[in-house]
Amino acid sequence: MKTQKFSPRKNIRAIVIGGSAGSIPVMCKILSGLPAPFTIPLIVCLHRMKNVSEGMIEVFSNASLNPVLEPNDKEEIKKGNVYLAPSNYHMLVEKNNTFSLSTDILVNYSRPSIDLTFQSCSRIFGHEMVAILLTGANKDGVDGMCMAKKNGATTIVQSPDDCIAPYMPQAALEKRCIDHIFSTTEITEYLISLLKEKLV
Amino acid sequence: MTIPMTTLDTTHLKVLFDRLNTRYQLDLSNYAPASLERRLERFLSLHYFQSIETLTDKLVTDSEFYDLFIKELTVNTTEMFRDASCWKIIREQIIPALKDLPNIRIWHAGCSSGEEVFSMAILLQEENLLHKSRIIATDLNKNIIETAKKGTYSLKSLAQNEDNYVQAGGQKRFSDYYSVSEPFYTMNPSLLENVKFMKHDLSCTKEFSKFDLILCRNVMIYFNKELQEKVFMLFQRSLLKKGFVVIGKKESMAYYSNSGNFTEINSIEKIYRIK
Repeated sequence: MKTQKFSPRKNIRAIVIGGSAGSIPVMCKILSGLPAPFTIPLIVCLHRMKNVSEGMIEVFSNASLNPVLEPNDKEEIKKGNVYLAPSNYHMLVEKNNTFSLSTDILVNYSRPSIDLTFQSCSRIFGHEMVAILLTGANKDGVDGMCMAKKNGATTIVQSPDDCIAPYMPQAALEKRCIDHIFSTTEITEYLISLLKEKLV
Repeated sequence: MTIPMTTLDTTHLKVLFDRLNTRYQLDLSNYAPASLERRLERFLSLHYFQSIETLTDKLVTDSEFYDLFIKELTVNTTEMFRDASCWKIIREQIIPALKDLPNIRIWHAGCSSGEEVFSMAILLQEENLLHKSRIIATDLNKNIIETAKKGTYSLKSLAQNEDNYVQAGGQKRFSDYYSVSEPFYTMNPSLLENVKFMKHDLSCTKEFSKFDLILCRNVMIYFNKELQEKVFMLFQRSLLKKGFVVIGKKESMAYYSNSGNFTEINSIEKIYRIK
């Protein structure tokens, strides 16, 4: 299970990534390695400060060749965009390929909650999704990874050796719901390989 | 192929919606599915229902239980001066445009537990306009309206609310507006002097009055586009000349077919004014 390269054999409709605020540099590194246009939507849910709504977009936009945006409620999910969960909202998706936001109570002390985004995406995209959990110090995201795996998604955690806060990926590994343990570089390579597969 | 795991079956959901509509005139079919289904599943498991059919039977026969269901199904999270930057714009740009009117008519659509109603009353009092304001606050959920009328909140929420008040440009001390009785604090009842609370279901899109300002923040995110369209139409019909609408920060009027009838006053805080 370690880091063997894995050949994707299905149409991937979304790449869903979760992590805590500590994963911002990791996310920047991944985004900077992806070509444009990256024709699979990236749906990213990172824990963030409630009252700081600006800043994260700018940081990611500087790193990314693809547009980075915080979706409005009901916005259509488009290929080639990187979507970031807005501060103080949960980010869900609907069958009609749009985002649905919610101000529901905190889940795992978090809004946006990674579990909610993973679970909602898993219902819609099923096995046609890749779920990636990056560094983090809280268990938010672990249940979502398990559900994604159950529904046939490919699940990846950032290698705990590579993490500043390995608790989150470690907890997911203990639940045995993970297909791959990748370093940041391997995650980027894997995503690029998905794209090649898709274009063939 | 793996089928995505869903415990809610579409046919059973439709039966639930139809029967609730017949029995209580509540139409859930135009709610945004992602949130609604999650809340429904949560309700089913919290109350130990094995299936959606048993829940449906219980709901149509027990109206008290139905009230509890509505309370738990709807999202009621709110704060005083939630999104302080928006309240700052309301104070600096909307209030000056309304202050010379003989009276100021305001509708809080989806007022939940009342925090935004108190926020507005505080703001109006500080601008010396509360006496000539007429505020209507409505919600679908009659239990939450009772909470709003009492204005009693857990002290746990106080620090956040005080912080928001300061960020929003509050001119006094927030503590001037409430009294504490552990573990709660109660907002000064005089703030509600010109406020009327009413049960009103936005999804039935009935108009009942005209307003200079309508606040409906983070309510329509729980509706689908079709219902949003109807609610925007309702707001348009309910606005007085040059009236304002304020929606949530991540909501948008972009999908409304008559959005051209409005001027966008602030694109970040989502403040619109009818032309």
